Amino acid sequence: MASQHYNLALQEFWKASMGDITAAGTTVKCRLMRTSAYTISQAHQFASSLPAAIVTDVTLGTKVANGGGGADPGCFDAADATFLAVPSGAAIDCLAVFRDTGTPASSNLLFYIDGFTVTPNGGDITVQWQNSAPWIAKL
Amino acid sequence: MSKVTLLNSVAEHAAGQTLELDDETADRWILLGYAEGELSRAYDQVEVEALNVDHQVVTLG
Repeated sequence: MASQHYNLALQEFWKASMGDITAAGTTVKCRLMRTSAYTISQAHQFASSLPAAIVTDVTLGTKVANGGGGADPGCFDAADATFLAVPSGAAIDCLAVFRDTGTPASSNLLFYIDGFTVTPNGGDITVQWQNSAPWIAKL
Repeated sequence: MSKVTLLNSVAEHAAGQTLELDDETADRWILLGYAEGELSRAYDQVEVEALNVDHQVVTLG
């Protein structure tokens, strides 16, 4: 698979039903996953389709809709994400970003990223987002 | 207790927040680059390297 948006998220963006994703009052989370436990499907709309969290999801902060210090309008960016004390185990090789409502069945999946791999050793894992467009993701 | 301001988003704490943490955690987060603030004490290079030994970084893109 390749990194991609969830089409049902794009649908909701067009309908403006999710509000301002970058607003301080909107909680956006990132979940580390394994492709052995999750296969992206464009039929997935909510976080209830994701496997159980391996470690506490990271709540993204410093969210912007114009990555690169404003140079890249349309690109979502945020501060790097640190997952604390990720249990040792098989390689982690994908992640999903979602708008958290507090209820998985209504928490919209936004995008899916793969193309990396890290084998957790029990310590912290920091995900450094791409330092150029599309930063985290571009609409 | 020490106050830190998060540079990274760390678990349930979004970047930009100011948190009050126990000194050990605050120092660790500052030394690992997760946060900025004042260290409660001086650390030597061996201690800093020991903190980093299990920290993994994934760079996307």
